[in-house]
Amino acid sequence: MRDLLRWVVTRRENTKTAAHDRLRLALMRDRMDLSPEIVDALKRDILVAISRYMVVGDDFQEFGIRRLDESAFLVSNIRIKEMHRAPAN
Amino acid sequence: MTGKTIVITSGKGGVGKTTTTANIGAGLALRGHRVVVIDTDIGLRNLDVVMGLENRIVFDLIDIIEGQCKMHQGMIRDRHNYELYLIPAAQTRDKNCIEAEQLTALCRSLEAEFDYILIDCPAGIEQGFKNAIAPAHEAVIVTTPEVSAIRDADRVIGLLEAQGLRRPRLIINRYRPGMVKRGDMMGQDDIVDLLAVDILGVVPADDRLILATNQGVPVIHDRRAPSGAAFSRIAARIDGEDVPIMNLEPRNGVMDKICAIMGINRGAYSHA
Repeated sequence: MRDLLRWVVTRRENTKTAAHDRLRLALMRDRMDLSPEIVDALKRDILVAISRYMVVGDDFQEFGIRRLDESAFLVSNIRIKEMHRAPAN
Repeated sequence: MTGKTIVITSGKGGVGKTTTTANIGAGLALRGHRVVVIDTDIGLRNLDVVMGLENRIVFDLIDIIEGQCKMHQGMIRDRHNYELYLIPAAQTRDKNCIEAEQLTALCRSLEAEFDYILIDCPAGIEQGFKNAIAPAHEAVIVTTPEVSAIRDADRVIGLLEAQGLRRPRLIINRYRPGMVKRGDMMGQDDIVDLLAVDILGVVPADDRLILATNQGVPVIHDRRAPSGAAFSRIAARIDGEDVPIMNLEPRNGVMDKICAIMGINRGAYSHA
């Protein structure tokens, strides 16, 4: 009986944490499949932000999400044409 | 009268969309509203059998849309609520025979006569789903505390938001407080954290719901059913009443402990 109780109590780790962690990663990966409209909107917003500090090319040479093992990175390249002397607000 | 159209959707099948639609519909009718529930799962109709109205079908949704019958001829009055009506899905047609605009036009006509129009959405994210969400002012997502259902819910939330349904609200169905307490099931906080949406309610797993469905009676009519109580509160929240979300607690009687140790699901909880 004692052994049975111990088996009931210790038979496994909590599985909730595993489910939660796996899902968090899966959802992040799913949500990274951005639609072309969203990618364009993101590019536009980033261009607006960068343009406050420097003059850049019309479009990105490279733009996208790169995955490396468990992590993901937003990688983008754009040519700088000119720098403003001091960042504008 | 200007009614509100609400779509009940989930992505994944088998999580309880149809049961939820039937119970929210009955709940809103019990609150004194005029309600119509529409089954849009063309070819796989089920809302009729869950509501116990399968023997009364003469016309269906497609008949109304195609003008084979008048709108009122295609609506079946519920057995328990005179203010609740069902428009059943067509069983012998396929999902591509209606268009989103036609369903939207029907809902706009219904809104002139009813307070609430509930649309039971088919599983999946294909045309049937797109048709079902087109007329909606609001969306309700049903999920269970399982990884597959939650992942599909996330996908559907994205699609709803892209359609302009900005703040879909979440119902967590078949919740088992005992398992959550033991750390073996994701709790409502975990799920809300993952999906980042507002919660509309939590429905406990409940054997009485199965008994009610077997008889074609929405479980909300069973006063002893914890799931029925949960659906009543969900209906009140949809109706704009401020009902707090309760944390479900497992029952704590001696028999419950014995059953828990033996792995028997008693299927009822102290308060839902």
